Amino acid sequence: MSKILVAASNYGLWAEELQAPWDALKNAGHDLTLTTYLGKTPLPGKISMDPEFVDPMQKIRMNPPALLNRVNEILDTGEWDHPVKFSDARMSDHDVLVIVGGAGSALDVAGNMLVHSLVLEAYKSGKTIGALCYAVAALAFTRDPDNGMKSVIHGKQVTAHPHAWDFTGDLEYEVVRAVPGNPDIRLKTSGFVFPLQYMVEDAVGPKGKVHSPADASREKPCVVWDAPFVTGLSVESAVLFGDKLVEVLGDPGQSR
Amino acid sequence: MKKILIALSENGFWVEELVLPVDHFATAGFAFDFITPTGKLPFPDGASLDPTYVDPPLGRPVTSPELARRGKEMDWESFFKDRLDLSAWMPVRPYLSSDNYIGALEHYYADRSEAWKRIDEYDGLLLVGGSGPIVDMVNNPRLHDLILGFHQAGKLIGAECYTVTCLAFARELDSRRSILHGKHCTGHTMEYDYTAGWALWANGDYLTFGAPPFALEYILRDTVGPEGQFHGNVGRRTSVVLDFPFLTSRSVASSDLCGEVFVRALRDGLTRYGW
Repeated sequence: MSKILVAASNYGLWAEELQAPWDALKNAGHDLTLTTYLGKTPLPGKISMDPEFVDPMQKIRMNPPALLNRVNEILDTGEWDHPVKFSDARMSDHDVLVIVGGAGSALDVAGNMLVHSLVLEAYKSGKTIGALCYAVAALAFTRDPDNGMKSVIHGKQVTAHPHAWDFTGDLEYEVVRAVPGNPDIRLKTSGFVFPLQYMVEDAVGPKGKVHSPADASREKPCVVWDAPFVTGLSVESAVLFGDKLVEVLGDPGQSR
Repeated sequence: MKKILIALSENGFWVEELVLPVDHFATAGFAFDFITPTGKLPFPDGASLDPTYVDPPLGRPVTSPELARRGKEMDWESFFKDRLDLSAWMPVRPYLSSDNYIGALEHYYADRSEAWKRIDEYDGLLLVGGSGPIVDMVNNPRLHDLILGFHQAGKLIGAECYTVTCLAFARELDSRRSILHGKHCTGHTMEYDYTAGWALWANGDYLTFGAPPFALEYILRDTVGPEGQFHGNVGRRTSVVLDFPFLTSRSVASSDLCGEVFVRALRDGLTRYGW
């Protein structure tokens, strides 16, 4: 059993991106601690909880009833309430770091120096680090002072949300179950605040490789393991991302 | 007569980063137009109007009483009254899921070539900084295409503060190669980035972050590649780098020098400065 620190956004989570790895790791018997920037419940983005939402690429309903029921169950029971603040989370208390995505993760996770400190400490102590979707940006921005301030993923193989999938229009960060103490942030940006694929391709450098298959789907998910990193493309790969983490933690002899 | 296109955010621009370069353009006798992402009236970032505002990383006020007064007394509505609307000028790339994707893509490139013809009117582009650009300029695909148009035409492209990020992300869809690859540039370094209290103007209120959503220094260090170079110039009061066609300016304190070097590049043919 591993003690796993799971980091999520307070500015708009993609429901399944936390639920799938959360349930997979929990069911495998691991001990999970949730952490967020503000120490508030990571509320799922509205689109990720809309049963009618049809993914424009895969042209299927992305949020089946069973998934939504499970997320609502978690939210009802308060399992994700009272997370530890990033500023209070200690990597030394945990064996594994998992960072999940959603539109909000580009705002309060990717560039967050507290997250970078957790990633660097996990990296330096050889702990497994998982990142899903836009949270891969937090790996790209974590720099290794012992390697010319290059990214910790320099020379590695990782996934990156394909640029072809990035929105060209406005992106809003509306969440479900907003309350006065944990409100919608009422922000509208021109797409995500940075294009992940371009940024990650620069960060891994010429010897690394970025997997960004624009034809990935629930049938063809994309997860890459290049120790210590397990990365997953986007929500269609959330289940495999959770399963891969369980497999990696159960078989420490392998490395990719 | 030289003519400059000046692009601004609709979510707050930094007054000094606009007015000091514009002063240089006016003195040099350059004409200029303004453009915003959707044609809305740009407004000054409140902090850039406050002479008592202390920039946390620098530990001192960054706006002089004189500039604060200018910013407050300026009638921005008439100043920007002839502004252009970028969304009406530049097309946007189609999604892979659009019907007849190749047809849609051909249409987009044809429309973009047509839109680029209007760049003939201008001799240079200036992107004005502030925190607002992170909301509507840094990852704005139409702005990326405007930059690529100026780049293809071999014209001067100036970027101040966080808008330098726009240059790193303006790429052709197929090559995905940064136009800054192999070039020299400057930009906000970690030393000058906030570690707490960084804020954006979001629908009538400030939304406070810890740090900005990305580390510009690392984006730039990665994107210039081994043959290029990022110049942080930490500890120097100003940091302006011209590696034609790119003129990059680190932050507020470099606004005046940025305007001066912009004019020298256009008027005197200067192609290199600051490295």
